[in-house]
Amino acid sequence: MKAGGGLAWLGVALAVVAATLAAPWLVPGSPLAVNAEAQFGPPGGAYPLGADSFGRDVLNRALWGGRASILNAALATGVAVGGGLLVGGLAGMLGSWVDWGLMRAVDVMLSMPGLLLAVALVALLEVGDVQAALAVGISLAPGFARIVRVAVIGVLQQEYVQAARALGASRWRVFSRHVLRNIGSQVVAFAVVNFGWALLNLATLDFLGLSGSPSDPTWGRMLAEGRRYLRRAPWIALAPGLLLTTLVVAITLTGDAWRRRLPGG
Amino acid sequence: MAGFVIRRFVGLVLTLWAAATLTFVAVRLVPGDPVAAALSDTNAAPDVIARRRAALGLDQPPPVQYARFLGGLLRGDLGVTWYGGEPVTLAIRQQLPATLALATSAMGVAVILGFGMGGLSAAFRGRLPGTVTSALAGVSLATPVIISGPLLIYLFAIRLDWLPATGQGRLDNLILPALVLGISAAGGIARVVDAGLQEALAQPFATTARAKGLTPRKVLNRHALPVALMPVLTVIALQFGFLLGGAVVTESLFARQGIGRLLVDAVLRKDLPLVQGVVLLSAFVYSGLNFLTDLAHAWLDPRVGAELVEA
Repeated sequence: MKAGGGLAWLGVALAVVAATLAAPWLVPGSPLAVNAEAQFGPPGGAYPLGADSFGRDVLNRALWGGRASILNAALATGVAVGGGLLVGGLAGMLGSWVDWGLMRAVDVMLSMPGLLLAVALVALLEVGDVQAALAVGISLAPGFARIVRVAVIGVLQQEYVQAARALGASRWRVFSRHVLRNIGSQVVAFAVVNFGWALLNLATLDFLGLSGSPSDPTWGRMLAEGRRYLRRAPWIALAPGLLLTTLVVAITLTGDAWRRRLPGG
Repeated sequence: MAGFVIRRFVGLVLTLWAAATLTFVAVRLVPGDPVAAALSDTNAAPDVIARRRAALGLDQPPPVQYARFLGGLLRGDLGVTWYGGEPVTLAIRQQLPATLALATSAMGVAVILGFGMGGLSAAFRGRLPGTVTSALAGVSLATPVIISGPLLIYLFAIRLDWLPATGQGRLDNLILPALVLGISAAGGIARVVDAGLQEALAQPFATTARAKGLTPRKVLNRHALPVALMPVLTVIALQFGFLLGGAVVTESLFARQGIGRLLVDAVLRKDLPLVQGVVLLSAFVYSGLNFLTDLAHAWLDPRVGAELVEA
């Protein structure tokens, strides 16, 4: 794909994010407002995308729910990036036994599928939205740590960095002045990809009922409700499903295009 | 080669030991009294909870608990559940056949679709069929089970009424779940098949075969496919682990019994020994598959063993 394709997908992703973040202004009504008369109402009229099993507005809930899903996924990505930078940075910068120990810990966490790890972590935390985001973030961090470590080691082998070290620059100075600046764009590209995974895994935890209250909308919880009433009101699942798929596809393709533009990518 | 096998095997055992230790520590880091939490909805009296704690050995000092835990693991004993009190291995064994049936049939779907899409997009690169199949592989990669599931249920169970949306036991109950789960893994396989075939087709031996006058189809099937197979084996092994994770969601979607449902129920009840058992089982299966794949690689290509020993 050309760089232009990447930009177009970035536009799509930003449009979905903007629409959901602007939910308080676009759809000012409460996503929790029930209306017994509109129960299972088909799309049209006052409910452009239909109403759900409590007569709540699907369009309203899909945008408010997207806002919650995106904010939670951003928290999860923050945890993954922070943890990955810390562990991968320490392992790459310090080397020797620190590197060995941290990477064995990473191996252990990667010895099971990421989604299962996140589900198991929910058992240790509590059942709630923030906890689910933490669990997903922690389950993504080991993969991030590996990428950061390889990138850090790559920078340390550059001649000018070795020259800086030979001139007596401290490890911290080398890290903040050279390493961080050089791995920056790679970290951002991988963070974008991780954001997509975080959205999917969080939606899955929501779907399984392993996060917050069922009445507070997120895309995953709306999909779970839509699954229950597929026969009677298929429109409940349609809006959150379409928005989630569009956003994840756009993020994945943006990340791919970005990585291809990086040197050696 | 023997040295490589031993090194990798020791690595596997150490990883599993570390995973077991990690889960042991994690379970004991949970604040509060987890047994009381697990029994909270049964209104158990404090002395019942105390007796359950004693029966579980949770009143012993942690090193004693750890030694007992490791000893039990070696004998294949994962302890008893906090909720029902039955052995964890029994609970897992009852649910395992349903999940294995789902995961293997989904793997069949994924392999067929993956080879089909990957083969077509390599054979028709730059032309319409190739573009369509590689786009389909991309869609399969980006669509999670929670979206493809409701979509296929709506299409095949509700609109067309060909297949049941829920239920268990009969073959037609398995088709839709296997399809949903298989499609989610097919995209990854298709990409690797596609890339492997293209690389093989660019090799001199493929040019030679073409120069001898073989049809493109014969070059692809007889010469390129065997060479492309090795990385595909790795991906299939990895995807099987991924399928075990996907089974958690698929079982919920189709209201099926299985390990995934067991895990979700255990998490909601905070039945930590049961969660621990399922986690250790999946780590065992996942790491074991990786180990076997490494062995297969080293056996097929002696250079791999030498490289990994040096690394």
